[in-house]
Amino acid sequence: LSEGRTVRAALEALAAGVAVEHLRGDVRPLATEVDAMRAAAARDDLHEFITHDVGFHRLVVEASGNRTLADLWEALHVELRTTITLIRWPGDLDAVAEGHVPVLEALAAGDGDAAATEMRRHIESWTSERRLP
Amino acid sequence: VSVSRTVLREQVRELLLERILQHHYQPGERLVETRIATELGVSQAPVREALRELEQLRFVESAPFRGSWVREVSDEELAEVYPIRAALEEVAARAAAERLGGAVGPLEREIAAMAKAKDTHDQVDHDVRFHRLIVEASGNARLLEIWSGLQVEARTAITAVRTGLDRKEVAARHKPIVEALRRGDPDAAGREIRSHVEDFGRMFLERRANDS
Repeated sequence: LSEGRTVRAALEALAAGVAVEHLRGDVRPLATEVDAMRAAAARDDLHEFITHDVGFHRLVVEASGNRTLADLWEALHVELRTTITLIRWPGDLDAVAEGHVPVLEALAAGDGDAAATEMRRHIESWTSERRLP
Repeated sequence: VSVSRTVLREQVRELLLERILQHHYQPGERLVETRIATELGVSQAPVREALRELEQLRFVESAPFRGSWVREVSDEELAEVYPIRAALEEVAARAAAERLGGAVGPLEREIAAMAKAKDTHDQVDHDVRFHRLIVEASGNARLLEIWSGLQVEARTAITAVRTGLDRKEVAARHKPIVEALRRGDPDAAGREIRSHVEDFGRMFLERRANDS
């Protein structure tokens, strides 16, 4: 697992675990991002896909209510890194979009532990599937 | 940047932070670079750098042509860093458990120094060094960079003053982490450092409740 991704997985797992308290099961904005990812995948529109992929993660981080965490996450430049990754290792965008669903479901169920676990798995597995350094 | 320059900047930052936390400076009060430099008998550069660091910590705000002033910081904001440190240091300790090969001598020396610290500044110094050693031992440069950006030194100073814990107790609270690292147990090391940091976050907010 790459250095940056390990850090990102830890920070976003933290965010997802706390976000359930603030979301209170209302995950509509997150579901909208997943739908937008699916639509962009269908059109093979990489730029649009990344916008909504990063949008999904940003919403989770913001829902943590921890501004220090949100500032730190922005400093990771997730958008840029996602773009680089998807350009260097192009893959099945549909599968990437669907990879967000377990996180969404755990957040909708209001299960903080599950949301944290699923977020960590989502970020880490995505790497191992692509055999990234 | 020379060593003495770095130390000077840290000393200025600590002094200003202390004055803000003890309400010697009031929220909204202007912090004039030249005036502070004259008062402390230093050049403007370390004062400017200290103010910039305090701005990153959100204790100070600034605007062009208006200079810098003290910002009101809530305890909830200050407490935000604990879960972040807990998450990052858990990653660090897990990796360190595998990479240290049980060599925890330097960590034990920091604990001993914490217990014998001559003052709060010295205690905080060794406390932060202990945590930095673990983050460094993770071998994850990105993690170290992000952790360093959290201004752990200044924040630990706040926690130390706020919780007012006996330095022997603070030192003892680091021991379970070292034991797990000595055994090379990543799960235990991650768990111990996480709860260690989270405990201090809790004590930080509880102490506030007791004060008011």
